[in-house]
Amino acid sequence: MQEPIENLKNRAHQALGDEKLKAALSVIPEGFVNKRLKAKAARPDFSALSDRAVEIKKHTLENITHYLERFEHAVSKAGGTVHFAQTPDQARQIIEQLCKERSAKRIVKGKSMISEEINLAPHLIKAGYECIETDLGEYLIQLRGEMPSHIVAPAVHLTRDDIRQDFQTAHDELPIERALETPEDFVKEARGILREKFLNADIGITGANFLIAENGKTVIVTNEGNGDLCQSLPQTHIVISSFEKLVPTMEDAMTMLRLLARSATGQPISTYTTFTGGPALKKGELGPTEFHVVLLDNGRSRMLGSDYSEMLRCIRCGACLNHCPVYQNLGGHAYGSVYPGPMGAVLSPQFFGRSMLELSHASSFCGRCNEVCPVQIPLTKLMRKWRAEGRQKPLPLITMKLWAWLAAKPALYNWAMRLALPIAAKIAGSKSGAKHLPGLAQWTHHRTAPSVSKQSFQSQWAKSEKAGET
Amino acid sequence: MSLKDSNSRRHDFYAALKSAERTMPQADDKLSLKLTPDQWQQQNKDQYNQRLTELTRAALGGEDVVSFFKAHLLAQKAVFLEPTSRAKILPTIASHLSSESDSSNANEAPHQPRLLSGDNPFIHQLKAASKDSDELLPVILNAATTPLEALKEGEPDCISTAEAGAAESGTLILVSGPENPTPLNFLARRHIVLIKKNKIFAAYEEALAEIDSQSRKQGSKTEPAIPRTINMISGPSRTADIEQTLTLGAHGPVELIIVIYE
Ligand code: SF4
Repeated sequence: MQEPIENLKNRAHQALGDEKLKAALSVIPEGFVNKRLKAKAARPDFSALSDRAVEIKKHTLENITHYLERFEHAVSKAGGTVHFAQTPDQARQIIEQLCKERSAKRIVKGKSMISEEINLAPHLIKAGYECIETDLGEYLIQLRGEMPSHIVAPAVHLTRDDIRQDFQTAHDELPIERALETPEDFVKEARGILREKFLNADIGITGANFLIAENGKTVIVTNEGNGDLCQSLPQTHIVISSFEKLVPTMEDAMTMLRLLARSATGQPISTYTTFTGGPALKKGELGPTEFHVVLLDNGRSRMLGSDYSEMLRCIRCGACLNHCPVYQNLGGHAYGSVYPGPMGAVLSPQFFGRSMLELSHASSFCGRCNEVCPVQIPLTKLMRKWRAEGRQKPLPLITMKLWAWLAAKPALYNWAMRLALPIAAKIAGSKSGAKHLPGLAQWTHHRTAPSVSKQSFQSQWAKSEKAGET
Repeated sequence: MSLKDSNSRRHDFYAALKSAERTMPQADDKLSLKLTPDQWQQQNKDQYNQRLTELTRAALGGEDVVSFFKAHLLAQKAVFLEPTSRAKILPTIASHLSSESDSSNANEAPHQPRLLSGDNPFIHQLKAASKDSDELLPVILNAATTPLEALKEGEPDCISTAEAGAAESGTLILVSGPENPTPLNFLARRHIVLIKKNKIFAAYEEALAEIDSQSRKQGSKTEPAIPRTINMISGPSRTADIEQTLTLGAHGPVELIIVIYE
């Protein structure tokens, strides 16, 4: 695996000089942009559907704990288990533990952006498991040890020549002089190799495009059918997902699905859309005997309570990538994140930290992304917000200096606190947390500070000491 | 990882969501409805399912539902067979399967043609009706015949029945169970799906209502028997991952064959 190049500017420079990449990316206007346009035209009510989709997502997020409880209840009722992970590390641990307890050797994986977000497959491989990506695009980039360069078409940056070389190296049990010319040749070879893996896998891991609160189903969409083989053949099925994928009902999911494939690939619906949940318990029914859902937070709850909450509506259709002039020219790798393009510029700093703030500069702010987003996310507005945040210094110097000076003088400090705290508590108001604190705007702007106590810690301590003496 | 860990992780997860729910910026624009979950469900039932069905019918442009359904599936490269009677269904399928020179399979080891199905009452019926035919008839898998093992040899052709269809995108809806084991839909080299004509609806909402009424019939009064898996299938398996060129038969069936019967 190539070492990633430091900073966006350098990566962009490298991408722009790459003729092969340019050729690979040239399929995007015909392959995605035009197809979406046609699919949208065939559905005169597209904007009504989009409005409804926004309502669905908003309503669900406004009542998120309710719907999560319902989902959890329905999954357990069907005989499955929901696991909760705040951090990528916890999610990986839970999954690794599940694999270990089942003495698994081979894991087949469907395409899942969250698994990319937590780097799941490389982690499991390092832990000693055979973990195979089965979506063809994901398989291709796994062979190369690369990141996906598109959230829907992960290998869009590769050409036939790249793939031929990789197949010849990876499938060295096949005769070297075999034909690898047409797309059919490649697809057939991968089908044969991967079929074998599906049939002998212990665990299947998939993502989920939606989670249905009313009946505990997880929804995947694929064109290949690989996700379905992952979740119907191995004895254990693990779904990795996150709370913002919840929708209340099956019908609500269908409204979202009407938009998803049209926006993503210009199909009216993906070839396979599957709702599944719970182990196969009926006599004679074929399917996994165990069903687990792992839900990852990784900053999403913080987003929910912030100005970035609208981003949680994203259904990962990729339309904003396909229509972005910057993405069209750079491809996904230049972004240095598994979430590239406008949606990636908004999400990546949330998931991967402030080093990703630079992505908000990978935009001409032309606004095409806002227009094509099926769930009407104001992407440029949110990118601007990150840009502004990136420009700010960690804390205004004057606040820090004042505090440092004060903290070195205990008597003065105590006096100042006694004076300041009741005022701060008043300004901050709310019991649940402080929305604004004077001089700390940059801290409290995007997060809620703990509510302010009227008494300083020191005076509370002194009081309790006294109480203990008597 | 102990139970205590998982309980505390669950607790933390919900706590973070609850506190976010409180500080969530108040949505002030037109698309925030401020409905409770109960009101939401009621609104869905009373207005939305109907409205979306109407919108979908309008998108069909007055065309007959079945021909729209077919047109979509043909565009997705599915194949239709038209047996003249129920008794002809299996023989028609058999002769289609044997007539087709599966050229894409040419340089692989030749395998015995096998046609498999779940323990499906309708297929039992069809088989009984065509028992005099000397053509290939489906082998019906049941719990006793270690079905998964049978699937693992070569790539069989499989036959299933659909519970409903939605014309709006040319989508077959199959429900898992011993009658239609899910893996058959994906392991098949050629997948044959039978669907009754009056089960083809315009919109998803109508098709889902049909599935729902079936699961109510099968469950108790208060507890519908929710199927474990619902598969929506809208064509043969495909990929565009090699240079964005459409290629059929990625992991699932190379061919999807549909029989609409009355
Ligand atoms: S931000 Fe909108 S357009 Fe971009 S991937 Fe998400 S849903 Fe699609």
